[in-house]
Amino acid sequence: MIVDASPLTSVTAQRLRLSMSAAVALVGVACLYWVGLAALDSLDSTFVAQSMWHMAAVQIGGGVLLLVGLTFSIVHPNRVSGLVVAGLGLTWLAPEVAGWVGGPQWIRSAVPALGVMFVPLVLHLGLAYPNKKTNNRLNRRLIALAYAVGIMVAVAVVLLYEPLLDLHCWRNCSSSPYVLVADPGLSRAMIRVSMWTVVGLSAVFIARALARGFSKPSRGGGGASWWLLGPMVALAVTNGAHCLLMLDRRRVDPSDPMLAGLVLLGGALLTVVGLRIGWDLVRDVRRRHRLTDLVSDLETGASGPLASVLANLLRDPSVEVAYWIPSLQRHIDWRGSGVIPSTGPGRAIATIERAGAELGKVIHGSRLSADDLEQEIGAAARLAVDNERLRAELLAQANEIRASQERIVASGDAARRRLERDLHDGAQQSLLALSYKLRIAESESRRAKADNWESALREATGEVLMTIEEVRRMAHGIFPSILVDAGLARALESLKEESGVQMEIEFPDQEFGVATSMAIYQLVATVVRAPGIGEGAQTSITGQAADGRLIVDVTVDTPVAPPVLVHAVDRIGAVGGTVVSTKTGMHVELPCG
Amino acid sequence: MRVVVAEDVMLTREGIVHVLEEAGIEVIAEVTDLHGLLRTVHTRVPDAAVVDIRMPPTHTDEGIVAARQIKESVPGVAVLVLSQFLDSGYAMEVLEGHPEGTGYLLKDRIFDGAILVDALRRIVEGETVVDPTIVTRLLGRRRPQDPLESLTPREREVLSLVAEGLSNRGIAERLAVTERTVEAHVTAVFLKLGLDGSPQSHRRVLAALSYLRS
Repeated sequence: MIVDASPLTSVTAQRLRLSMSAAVALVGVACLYWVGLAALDSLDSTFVAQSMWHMAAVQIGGGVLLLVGLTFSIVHPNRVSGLVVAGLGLTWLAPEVAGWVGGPQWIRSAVPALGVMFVPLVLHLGLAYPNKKTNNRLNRRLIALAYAVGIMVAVAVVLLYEPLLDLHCWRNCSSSPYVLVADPGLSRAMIRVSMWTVVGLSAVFIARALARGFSKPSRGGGGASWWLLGPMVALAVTNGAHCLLMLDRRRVDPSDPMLAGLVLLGGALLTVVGLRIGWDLVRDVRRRHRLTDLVSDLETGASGPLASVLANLLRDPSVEVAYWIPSLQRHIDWRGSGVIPSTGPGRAIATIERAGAELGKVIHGSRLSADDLEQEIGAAARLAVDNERLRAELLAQANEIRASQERIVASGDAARRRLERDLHDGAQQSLLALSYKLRIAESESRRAKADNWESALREATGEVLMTIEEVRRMAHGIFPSILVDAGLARALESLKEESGVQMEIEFPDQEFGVATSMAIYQLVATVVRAPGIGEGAQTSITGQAADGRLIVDVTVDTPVAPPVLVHAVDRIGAVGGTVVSTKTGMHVELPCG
Repeated sequence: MRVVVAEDVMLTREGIVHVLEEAGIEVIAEVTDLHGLLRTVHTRVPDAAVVDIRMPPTHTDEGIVAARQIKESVPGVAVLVLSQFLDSGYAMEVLEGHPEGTGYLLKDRIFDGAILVDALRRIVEGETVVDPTIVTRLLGRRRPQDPLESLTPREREVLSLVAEGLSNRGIAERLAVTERTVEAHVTAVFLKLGLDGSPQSHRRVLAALSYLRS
């Protein structure tokens, strides 16, 4: 489904872009700082220190997310997903910063608050990506709620948790400069509150993510991919399990194989999430390049029909576009010919719609879902669909008119042919039989020496023969049957024979179909019978057949007045041909079967 | 002489059969369509077939098709196509492949005296028959710088008879001259008109007709 995006006004867009750039720059600086810290830290007893794998899982997971998130924000300055991804990376690396022994206390003490924000970010990314806006109202509310809860708990943790009083404090046991009320029980409670918050929000996310994954793709946006939802659900499970384990064990112990394993798993899952979004990003950039090419193609007019543009875009040469024309109640292709969109093996149909009404269908062989297809071709289709559809509709109407003209001409020809045959096989044969009877009577009367009868009968025989001749001429005028019996070349020769006009005929001796042959025959007949063209006039007819088209050049030494030719030219138009007047006559092109 | 008559209109067919039987020609079968004709020709191998140009099933060019098929499969059978069409194009279609033993006659005059019987005798002897009306019409056409004007009246007459398909002997009989005289005339005509092909061959009728049609 390809729906027109409402364009942002330029002022709003500019402002948005500015503030986004500032945010991106800020986050970028913070990230660099963070990564630097995490790398430089004397990490003797953290998870990172457990093994090379832990180190890689933590650093690569966070690093990939930061990198992808920042790039995403640069590529899509008006989409928030980039910041969410970068935020995820930031919060993932946060515990490592807390363990930075030599670091400034004001940063180390604020870090636990960041850790709480990890789950709202997961929730946001998992329920909204890749859409700009979350379509589901419940999900939208849940995301807002998660942020609100996260922020409240984070603020509470910063103000009420005193590491100095926490017996199970880990890595950072120095007094926090932010604490309002320092109480061991309260500090412990804050830890528990933050853990349960994570568990609760993770559970909410898992439920909603599964619902999203299994629901049908929604209108107006791309569906969620299991490639993203799967790792994110697993991540939420890992994270929840980690917190439950922490509630049970009460203290963080990097050497605990279960805790360390969960961290390892979490890092790997984050890496998958980051790569998946990164892949989307690469695809977006490539598509954007292709669209830029397309736009320049459209500007220079070198693009061809939409179907071939889409074939290029999707790297699928089998793409077809069928436009729905309500007035004709059928689908047509770009040439205006009727088509019936049908799927075959490995072929799928996507419907192009606007405001609920069908514009047409795209039949393609790629494995893209309807929503992915919308993502891929939406912009291209929007650029070209209306223009080409209108053109195709006009062509279809023109075809329709031409087809009806052709039918009218063909039925007229068929009627004339029947009449010609009736004259020959009916009237002429009867006259022939009559002439036979008259001859018998004539010879009878000769034998009976009835001279007066004999001469009367001979006279009658002569009249019958003249009538036969008359009928022959009439029949030939009604329909030149030699055209069907012996082909156009022979028919033209016979035309020359009867008219007495000088005619040089160079014509391939082959079948062109009755309608085409008849159209050419009528044109030449009109020329040789035109007033002012008598016996001895010079004409030439040259025919060439190539690529399903017959090209005929007619030259005449005496010009023929255009009104005389109207009917003959109409006939050629009716079979889809054209007549162009030249200095010496006419140039005709028409399709031949 | 054993003859098959193929004609779908009963009155005409009866007339033809009557004319032939009057002349002592044996009509061994009367058929009314293309398939019947081909079957009879193959099974009973007549000397000649008299064929209407239009017959069932399609009433279009069955006669032309029949002439070609008979000449190709049973070349010994002479074929006389009866037609209502004056166009020489039809005659060419019928004669083109195998002019010897083939004829194209207009229906108008088949009941007129000995025309039909003469034509049959000639094709059975291997000559070609082209209706004189068609040849006269072709000869009468105007041409720019007409080479026909360089012919003597006698040569014109000879050309016309060559185009009608007569052999030198036939022409000699018709004009009451010797065959050698006819031969000389024919050679002169072919030379003057620059006609291709030998004046002695069976195909000279096609050469003459093509010349007159062009």
